Amino acid sequence: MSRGRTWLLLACAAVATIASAQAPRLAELELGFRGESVADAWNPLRLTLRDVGAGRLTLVVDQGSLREGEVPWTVIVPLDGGAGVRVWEGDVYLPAWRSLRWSVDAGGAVVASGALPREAADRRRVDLVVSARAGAVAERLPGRVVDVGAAALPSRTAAYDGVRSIWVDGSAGIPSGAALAAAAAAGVVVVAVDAAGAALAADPGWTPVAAGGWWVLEDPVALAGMAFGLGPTAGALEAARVDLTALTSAFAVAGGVVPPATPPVTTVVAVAAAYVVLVFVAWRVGGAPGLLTWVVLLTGASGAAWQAARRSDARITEVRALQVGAGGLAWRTEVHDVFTLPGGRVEVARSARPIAATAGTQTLGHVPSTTLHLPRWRGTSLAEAPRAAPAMLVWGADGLPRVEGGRPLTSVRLVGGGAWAVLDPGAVPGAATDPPPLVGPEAAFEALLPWGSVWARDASDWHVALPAEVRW
Amino acid sequence: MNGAFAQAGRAAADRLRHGDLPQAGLLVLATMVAALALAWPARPGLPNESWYGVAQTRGALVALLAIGYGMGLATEDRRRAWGTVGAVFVVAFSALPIEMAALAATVPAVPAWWPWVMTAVAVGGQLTLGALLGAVMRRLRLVVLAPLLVPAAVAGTIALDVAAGVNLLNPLLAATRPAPGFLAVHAALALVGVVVAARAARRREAA
Repeated sequence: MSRGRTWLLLACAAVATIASAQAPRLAELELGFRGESVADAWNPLRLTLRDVGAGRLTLVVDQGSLREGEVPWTVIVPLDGGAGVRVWEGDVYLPAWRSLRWSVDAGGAVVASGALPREAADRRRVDLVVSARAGAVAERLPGRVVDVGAAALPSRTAAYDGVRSIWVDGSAGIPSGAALAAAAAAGVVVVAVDAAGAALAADPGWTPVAAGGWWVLEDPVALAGMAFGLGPTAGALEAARVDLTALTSAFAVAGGVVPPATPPVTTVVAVAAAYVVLVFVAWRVGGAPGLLTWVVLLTGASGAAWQAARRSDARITEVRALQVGAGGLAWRTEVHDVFTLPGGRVEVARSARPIAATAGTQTLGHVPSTTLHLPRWRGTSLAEAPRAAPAMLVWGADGLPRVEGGRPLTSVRLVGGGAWAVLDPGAVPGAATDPPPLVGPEAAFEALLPWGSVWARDASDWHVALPAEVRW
Repeated sequence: MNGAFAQAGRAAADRLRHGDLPQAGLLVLATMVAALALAWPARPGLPNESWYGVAQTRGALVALLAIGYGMGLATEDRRRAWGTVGAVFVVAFSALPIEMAALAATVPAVPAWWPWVMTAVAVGGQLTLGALLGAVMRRLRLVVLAPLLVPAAVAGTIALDVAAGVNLLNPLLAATRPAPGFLAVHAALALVGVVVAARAARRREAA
């Protein structure tokens, strides 16, 4: 072979190698913000597909232990096929995992797969920085600081479940007001300074700081040129944070489906014994009358026994809402208490997570979205993916609680203060009375609220208004 | 055919009027009430698991009754034998309202018709099984061991199924779980019993 041909072959081989190395992957999965997922929280999920046919993403989270064995939580995302680049975005709940694996199947083949090790199951909330000076925040907040682009912030409240704070200074773009409002509703501290603060302050969507959760709008004039120098410290962030996951758990424990009562055993035995005596008498009568009496007794007693002891609702579901806000915007989740008498599949229409570790399947973009298999006579609670909603309980300018909406709230309690039996919509509360003592789950719930919060009930729904003052 | 059913009904009614069968039937029903009382939750709010115990009690008692009375069928005259068969069915079905109360309160993943179908088919098959065992015992001249053989036969059906990992004969398992194999085997046994009884009747008529 001539030297020229050898060089040509080598060149072709090199080009082929480079080309194959640069070939885009068919599917890419990003869990959390820039791959920083948070365990025991809803996380944003972004799946990018390139020229892949119809298929599905399957994500299996094993939340079991050596003692319990495998407890899989499976998330399925049906994917439409097609040419070109397609992006799917949504939120998935990731319990603390023993193992996490995912795969994208299309056309009967696995086109991509991956796994996260057990060590990656980190429960610490992340701090997002939308700035060219992310290092300054990283120095200020030792922990999980993630540098993200302004356009990468979603407008879904559930996506911020694992986020502690967002720092924006305008040097790397300004996120949309909707995204920041969604984050604030999720309890995220938003620190906006310099140009970002000025721009957001001028944004009508931002200006009513009466959004739910924790808003910190630093004075852009006072902070001009100081970047994040006067922002809250990690300690301040932790002190101000309301643990919404713990609040949801306490709320779930406070309710739940009560198993249906069964008739007392004495009544059941007495009726059964009477039936036996009547059957025996019918036998003793004998002949056609006795046989006819027996047939009537048999059918009548069977029907009566079935009707008397039968449950009309073999699967009981109750839905209660929990809203936590500070102003006009609130973080809202709905807890589904399900109880099944026969063992089998129970379903929740929307995307929900189990309060306690339970095996189940979540199919995003599908109704019903969440399915669990429960043993018979067993109940469990699931919390829907949180979302932003108008607050029903807000603070008035006089520092007293107000009810927004059409229905009165009852059992209104100020944490560390007085109580009101009923608060009508728009009405100014009268003189507060001494709060009645709380016990059990309700006391545990109130203990999780910061001093100065107010909470009330609308039937089985609970509403919380966090204290409105700026904390730093 | 209607005449035959009417005759069998009258014979069953006579059989249940006096003698040992009403006593045995009363014992079955009383035991069912006791099982219901023991299995029913002691206080409200507890899971109601009563049907599992009550259904298995019914399955075992009916199997003992059917196999036991099946063993003696060949020694009885025709009318009395049909009366015994009918009476065993009546006793078996009489236990079902008690089971229905437990089934409705327990809410298992088992349809309400299963105990009725299972009882109808199982009693037919177990009567034939008893008749076959009785014939073997008479051939071996071991009829004296019949009181031991009846519970042993029920235990044997359970042991066979457990060993083979199937549910074809075990009345306890079939009582709480729909089992097509159990139905098929007992329906076949019942059919064999009917055919044998019909041939015997024809032989008697020819003689």
